[in-house]
This record gives sequence, structure tokens and C-alpha cells, in this order.
Amino acid sequence: MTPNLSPTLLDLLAPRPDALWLIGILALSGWYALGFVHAPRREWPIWRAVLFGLAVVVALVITQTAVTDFTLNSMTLYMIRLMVLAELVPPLAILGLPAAYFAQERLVPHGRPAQALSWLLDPWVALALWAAIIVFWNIPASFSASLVSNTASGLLPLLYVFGGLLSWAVVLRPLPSVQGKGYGNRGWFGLLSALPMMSVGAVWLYSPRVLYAPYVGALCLWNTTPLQNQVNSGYVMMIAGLPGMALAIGQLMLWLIALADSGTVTEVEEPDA
Amino acid sequence: MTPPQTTSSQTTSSQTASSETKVPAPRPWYVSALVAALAVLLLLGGVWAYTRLRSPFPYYGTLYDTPQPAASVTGLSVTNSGMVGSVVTPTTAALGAGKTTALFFGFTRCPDVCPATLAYLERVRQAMTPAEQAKFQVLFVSLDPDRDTPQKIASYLNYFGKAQGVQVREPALAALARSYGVSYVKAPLPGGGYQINHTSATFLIDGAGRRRLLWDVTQLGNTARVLNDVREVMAGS
Repeated sequence: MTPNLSPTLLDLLAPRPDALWLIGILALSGWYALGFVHAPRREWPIWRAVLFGLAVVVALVITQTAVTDFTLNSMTLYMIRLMVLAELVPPLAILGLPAAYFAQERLVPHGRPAQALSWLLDPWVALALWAAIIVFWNIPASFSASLVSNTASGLLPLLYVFGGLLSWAVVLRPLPSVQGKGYGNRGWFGLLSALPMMSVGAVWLYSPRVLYAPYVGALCLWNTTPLQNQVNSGYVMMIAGLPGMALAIGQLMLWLIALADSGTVTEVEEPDA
Repeated sequence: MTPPQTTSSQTTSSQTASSETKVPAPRPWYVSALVAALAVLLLLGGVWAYTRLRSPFPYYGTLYDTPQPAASVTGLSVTNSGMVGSVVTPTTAALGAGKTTALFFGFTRCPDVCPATLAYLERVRQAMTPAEQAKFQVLFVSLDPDRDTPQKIASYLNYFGKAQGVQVREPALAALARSYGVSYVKAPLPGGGYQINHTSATFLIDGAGRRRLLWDVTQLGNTARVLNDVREVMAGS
């Protein structure tokens, strides 16, 4: 009768190339592959390449298939796509980078680029940017609806990748030369940066009416209503935020343990080499 | 168990690396907070610049990246609406040909979205000058051709001013809806009968017959901004 409203997994995964994303992903993959091939295995272990490869595969699936088209009829699918780009691809890609090898080979930024990165990865800055991305695009009524609707399909996925990379880079600390090392800062950051997402997720979960304008009157996939889709999107957002939150709590625990030990444990000084 | 052996060269390189990995000194919190506020301003300013780069005019509706050719609407229509002894004739609605069109898909038994949309669009039409009204039309395509006869559509639209209605039969209707990305499905009602669940977008087609943008029904209540969009599209086509 109309566009397929009950797509199978095969329908969702049908190829639908997006040139800009494809070029970006392939360029990064090529850069990574070159480095991996030339580096000693001990310094750049295979498990890191596997994680980076997973990030690339997931990014390709989410940007180069018909999933993108079907998001018009499913807020849940739309949210899954954004959350994968923000909460799955970035940590996999960051864990795939051999930070120690980069530092050893002087591949980390120096000078002004290092300074700029140091500001960008400041927990305050990363938190503010991530919160702005989440809040501005999810509560459009308060801000500019036209700005939001005209950037939702093209720019927003890119912003979610950017925000996710910032957040996870602060938590996972891939660039020790430009990032502070305290667990406390990272733990607090992780906990606070999860709050905007959790709050928006909770609003969607408990709202009695559809809040996100493009889906108010949309025909939804798999015979669901717009409200069911909104509720499911709330679940997706909350579940996607859990790993980051769990890691943040772990880091806060380490910080607290270090804090508790600071007056009771005598540090043994190592002799100079 | 023997611990892994470390060669002297590895020891030297890792020591060099660790000695070079200087951890930056922590910043005062207020400096970080200030930079964070600036970064947010930069981000939102960049997004604003991106949208202005895409379109210098701040459209309220969602703009198509590139204007899409609008599929023509061919069906049955009452040509002398409101007069006694209405005449039903095959019609191909004039999309383009210098007229700007607001196209909406709906059905006459719709309890909420369709009447609201048509009322909002009439409000926009009435806010125009007579010269603008002459170059603007509201086109309604029924998604319920089994029950919405051309006469019924015409009498329904009389409540909402000067919209033109067209009955398009299946399978042409499915093809037309698909070309606009419009979905619709019959939903049975508890007491018998059915209603049509459908996409609630209104498409704005310029005088050259190209789809330029769409509004959601929740946006149409803002008459001034919708009118600005129409005027901008009229001026550019």
C-alpha cells in the first residue's frame, strides 16, 4: 500500500551508500591499517586492531544501509542509530588506538594542536558540548525548531559522533600527554555527562504524549504507535548511557580508594634509574 | 614462572616515552568553565552558520537538500465546488505553472490532523495579499478514495476555504503517495469501520513544480513563519 512498514533485518541492511560518510570512514581505516602494518605487534597488539575494525564495521552498517531511510518511520530506530554513533563506535575506536605507541613514536600532537586538544578534552568543555548536543536537539521547542529540523538528518549524526568521541576520550584518556590523569575528574565527568541523556530518556519514557514533532503524526514501523516509539527511544537512550555510567562509577570508586589510602599507605620510593 | 624478558632497547624506549608523557597541570575550574561556555557558543554558532550556508533564508519548514520534482496529481475533482449540480471531471492539478502549492494527503473522516491542517493552511492563505493568493493554492489528496467521493471531498473542503480536492484511485494513489514519501494504512475502529493512519506532512511545491520543503502539522499553527516560507518560495520561483 505504501512504503514497507514491516522491514526485515535484510531490508534494514540493504546497501544505501552515503558518499561523505563512506569517504571519511575509509580514509580513517586506511590511516589505521597503514600504521598497524608498520608497527611492531607488541606495541600495537591485534586486539586493538580488532576493536578498531569493529568500530569501522558498525559505523559502515549504521551509515551505509537502508536503516537511515527507515528512521523516518521509527523514532526508536532513529535513536538506536544515534546512540550507536555516540556510545558504541567512539569507545571501540578509542580503545583501538595504541596510546603508548603513539606517544613513543611521537605521533601524538605537539605544540598548538596539542594545546587545542587539551582544551577540547578538558572535562568541563567536553561535558558542556555533549550536554548542548543532547539538550538542544532533543528539546527543540525551547530553542529553534527550524534549526533542529534542518540539521537533524545531515549534521546531527556527525555531532553525535563528535560528542561521543569527546566524552569517551575524556573517560578512556587516549592522549595522556594532553589529558589530566586523575580518576576523580574522569569519574565525575562520566557521571555528569550521562545525566543529560538519562534525563531526556526519562522524559520520553514517562511522557503521556508524543513530544518530538517529526514523529507526532508519523506512521511507525512494525505496527507501533508514535508514543510506543517514544517510550522505546527512552529505553534505548537509557540503556546506551549505562556502560559510560558504570565506568564512571568504577573510576569514582578508584578515586575514593586512592583518597582513603592517601593518609594511611606509605609510598615506597623507587630508586632513580 | 618466568617473567617476560625485556630487551634493553625496549626499556630505553618505554622510559623515554614515559619521561616525555608529561601530564598537563590542572586548570582552575573557572577558566575551564569559561572555555566550556565559549565552546558551546561556538558549536551553536557553527550549526547556525551551517544552516545559513545551506539556505540563506531561515526556513521554518524542513528544507529538501535539493528541490525534488513534484509528481503530478491526476484524479477526479469537482470543478464547480459550492454550486448546485456539481460536475466531476478528470483533473491533473496544476503543480508548478507559476503557482505555489501546499499539498496535503488526508481523508475527510479524519478527527484531528486533517481539519487542523486545512484550517491552518486557510489561515495562511487569508494572511496573504490578493496578488499572493492568486499565485497560491492548497491541494488536498484523499487517502480514502473508497469513501471520499469527489463530491464529498468538495463539500468537506468548503468548510476550510478555498482548497482543491482530488480523489485518486488505487493503485495510482499508492504510487503517488510513495513518490512523496507519504505512508498510510487502514486501521480498524473498535465499533466497526476504519480510519486512515497517515503521514501528517504538508509539502510546499514552488511555481516550477519542485518540492521545496515540508511542514509537520505541529508547525503549521505558526501562521507568520509558515507565511514567510511561502513568500520566500514564491519569490524564488
